[in-house]
Amino acid sequence: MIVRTILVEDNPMEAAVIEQYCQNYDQLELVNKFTTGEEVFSFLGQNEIDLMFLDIEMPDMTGIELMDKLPYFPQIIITTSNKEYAYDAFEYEVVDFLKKPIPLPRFQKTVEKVISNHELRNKVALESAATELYVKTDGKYIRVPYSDILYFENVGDYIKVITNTGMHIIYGALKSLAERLSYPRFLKVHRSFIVNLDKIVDIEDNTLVIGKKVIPISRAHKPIIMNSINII
Amino acid sequence: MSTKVMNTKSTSGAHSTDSTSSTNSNKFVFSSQLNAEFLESSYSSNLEFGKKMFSIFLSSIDSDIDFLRGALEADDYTALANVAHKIKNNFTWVGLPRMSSLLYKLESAAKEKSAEVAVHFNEFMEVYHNEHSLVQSEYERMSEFLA
Repeated sequence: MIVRTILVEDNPMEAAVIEQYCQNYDQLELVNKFTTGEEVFSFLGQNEIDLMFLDIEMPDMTGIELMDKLPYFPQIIITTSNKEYAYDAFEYEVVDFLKKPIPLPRFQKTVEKVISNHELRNKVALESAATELYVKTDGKYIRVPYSDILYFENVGDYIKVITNTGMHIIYGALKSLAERLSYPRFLKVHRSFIVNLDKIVDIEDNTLVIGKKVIPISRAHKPIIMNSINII
Repeated sequence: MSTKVMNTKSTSGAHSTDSTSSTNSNKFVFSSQLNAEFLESSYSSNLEFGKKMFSIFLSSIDSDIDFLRGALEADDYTALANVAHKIKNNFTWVGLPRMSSLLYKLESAAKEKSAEVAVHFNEFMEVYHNEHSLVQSEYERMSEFLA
């Protein structure tokens, strides 16, 4: 389980120390280093990270100003030689506040907490992925239990998620969606359809019915679906 | 969890006791004119890293001091405080915490726009060249040891 990490530090000696300490952990992947806040925004706009070592005093802005504008919040460890920022930093629920020069044992204690948090977050995300998904609609993330979903239908660049109570539309391809669904009762029956096996009303020749919807079954997928249902 | 942990056990008493310092065939012994205990605990398990830190220090400190002097001459107390703040810990990493303390005094005086700024700068510069030579000498000894 890799913790993708960036380092924001304009003092080369302090940067070298943190980089060296990070090398002691297989779990930490230092993906980039920055000396200014602007560089960080540009990078985070296109990359996802799990951890940021953030110097509170940078040439172009303070770490507090940077945190105010972050597009998302990874785990953050503040590094500084100035304790006066500590209160403000903890308002942002940072993981820890390391005073420079940073002793290795202090660094280890904090990083082990980060790794533990990361493992916990991943475990929770995996548990969630086993029972539900979230779809983004009108700027909100709406929880949809797998048991409510009837089927997914690919329409152009979008996917319709048809549920017991309505429909959601998400951007993406059915193939990549199929790879992310960890619910064993979902089965792809056609290049444009993934169905919930528990919702099938009947199967006839090369079609199946869910609700009032008649869904085609491709020749390639027919044997798979027939092997997935309990025929007496 | 797979974790590579550096040796962090206390090494107090492991440094040399005379001011000339020495090395033996197995282990580099830091000069007692520097904070040998801190250097030992920071670099004994990875002397290459120690050498790298000394190298970074030596490659940047003269220009930082020039900047400090320029800020003083321009009465730019904000810049003076910022640079003093930025580089003060660098001296700790090369075993010179006393220089870090002098820079802390300079930084504090500059923040307060105190008339003591020039006094603290001169106090710092009085010992700077000698301390710089110690760092240079220690870097050369490390390089020789690692060669």
